[in-house]
Amino acid sequence: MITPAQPKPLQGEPLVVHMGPQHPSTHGVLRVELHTDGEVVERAIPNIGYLHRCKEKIGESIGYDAYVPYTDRMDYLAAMNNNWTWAMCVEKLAEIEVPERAEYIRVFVGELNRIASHLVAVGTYGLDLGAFTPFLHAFREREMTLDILEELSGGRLCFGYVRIGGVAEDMTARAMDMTRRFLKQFRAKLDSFNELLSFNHIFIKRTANIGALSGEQAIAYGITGPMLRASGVDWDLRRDEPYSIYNRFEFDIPVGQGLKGQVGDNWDRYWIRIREMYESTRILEQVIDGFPEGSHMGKVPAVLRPPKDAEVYVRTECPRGELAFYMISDGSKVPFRLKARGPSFCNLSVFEELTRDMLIADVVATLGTFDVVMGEVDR
Amino acid sequence: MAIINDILQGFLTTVKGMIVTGKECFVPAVTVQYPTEKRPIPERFRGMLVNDASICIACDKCVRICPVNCLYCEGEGKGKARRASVFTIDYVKCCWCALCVEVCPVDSLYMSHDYETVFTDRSQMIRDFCQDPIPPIGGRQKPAEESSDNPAEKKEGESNSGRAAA
Repeated sequence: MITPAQPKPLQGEPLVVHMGPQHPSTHGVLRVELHTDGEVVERAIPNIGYLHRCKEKIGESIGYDAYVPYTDRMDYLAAMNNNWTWAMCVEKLAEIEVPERAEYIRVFVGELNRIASHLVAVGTYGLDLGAFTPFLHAFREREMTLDILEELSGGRLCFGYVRIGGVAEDMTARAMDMTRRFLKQFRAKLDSFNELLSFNHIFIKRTANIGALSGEQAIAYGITGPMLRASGVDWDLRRDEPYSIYNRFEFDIPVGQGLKGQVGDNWDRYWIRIREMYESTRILEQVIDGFPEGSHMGKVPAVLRPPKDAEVYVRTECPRGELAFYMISDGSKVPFRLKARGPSFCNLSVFEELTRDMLIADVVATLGTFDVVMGEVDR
Repeated sequence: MAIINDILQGFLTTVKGMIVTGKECFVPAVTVQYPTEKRPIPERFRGMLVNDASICIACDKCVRICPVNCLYCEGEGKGKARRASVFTIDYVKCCWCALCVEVCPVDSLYMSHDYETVFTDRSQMIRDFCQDPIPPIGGRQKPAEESSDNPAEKKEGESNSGRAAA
């Protein structure tokens, strides 16, 4: 007697959906592999490497000063901070002194670029969640900061302004006036931006209590910058390991409090960036009031040859977290080994764990708060 | 009840946002009709890189510092009579970093204010400044105190280059 074959039970295989690399809300060429079970994402694996340009190897083949334009193109939304970190690294390696005025200009452009970068972050985050108007408001304010930076450096995105030993060109009176005008109205603009997006109830419902990252988890994954602070860890290099002249200024470090939900959720990560912009305006006001006279460029030898076997690790607080350069010199015109630690890359490492068993729509909302710049992730 | 509260709150906060948007109706427009109307360019604007070959001394400093190897230079003559015989810029490679402008000892290299440049072919993007002279486009001028130090050089620069006032 033949028994009919039993039908196999339905297999619950996950459906793999590829988000990116051309997806508008992955902020660049990031591909996320979503293993979905209906609406729920079981795993979201970020695939990187679409923008790899061998930055570290290039650094080992061209001179120290010629590498400045390459650092622009790492985190292209905060090029000034990247230039600055590179310049600080080489200065420490070759023991070059930077004049006081140059340090002031560096803090000035660094904080201005932080505002510009955070405005892109919060503006495009609204865009990810379907709010178009806040994006236009954010980019209008960013335009003003870019105008100031253009007045100083001549560029609008890749500045190449902070050079080894100082800055490329001196501060102008016109840039100071523009900054005063900008600062006068920026807080009010931020307040209206909050009305528009931050305290919108629909926005809060979409972001609060979703993708909460605990402080221990953040430290374990090496998360830095606004993401770490949003998780309740009070750590900022500008205050805890003051470089340049940050110890002269008074400012607070915003830490996530979980105002609308848990500590370290998406809304907290978004809110920390808004609060950092308020603090940056405070620093800028102090910088403008205390601009010293002097030279904008220190004494730099024509051919830079750092001492043999010198080794240096310099980290700074960039808008996305800690950017660091590690360098070994062999006494020649180029570094023997160069390693860059990009904050976006390290921050992205927690993405897979954070998005486990999340809804698809929330994956986009979570990725937006990471504020990744793919140029820096891949380098 | 929570859902009714959510709907109410969502409506109210959206109206608040709409008020912010509504205020923008009374702000004058800043849009510029681009091809006919242009925004003023800051003095330090970095447009197309050009070289004034008549004062270039072919010292090769720019070629050495260029991070992308977009410059090529050949010189003729010795000492003070040395001038460039071939000086090409490859705009395909140029990254507008202005490192070459900084190292130039005679200020023959400068970033012009020209940004409306169209090429139909890659070969057109390689330009030899010894063959075709610079069209009169605005560029950065030398700082006043620097040029007053060498009046002879300033005169030469003014008469030969198209470094018209921006």
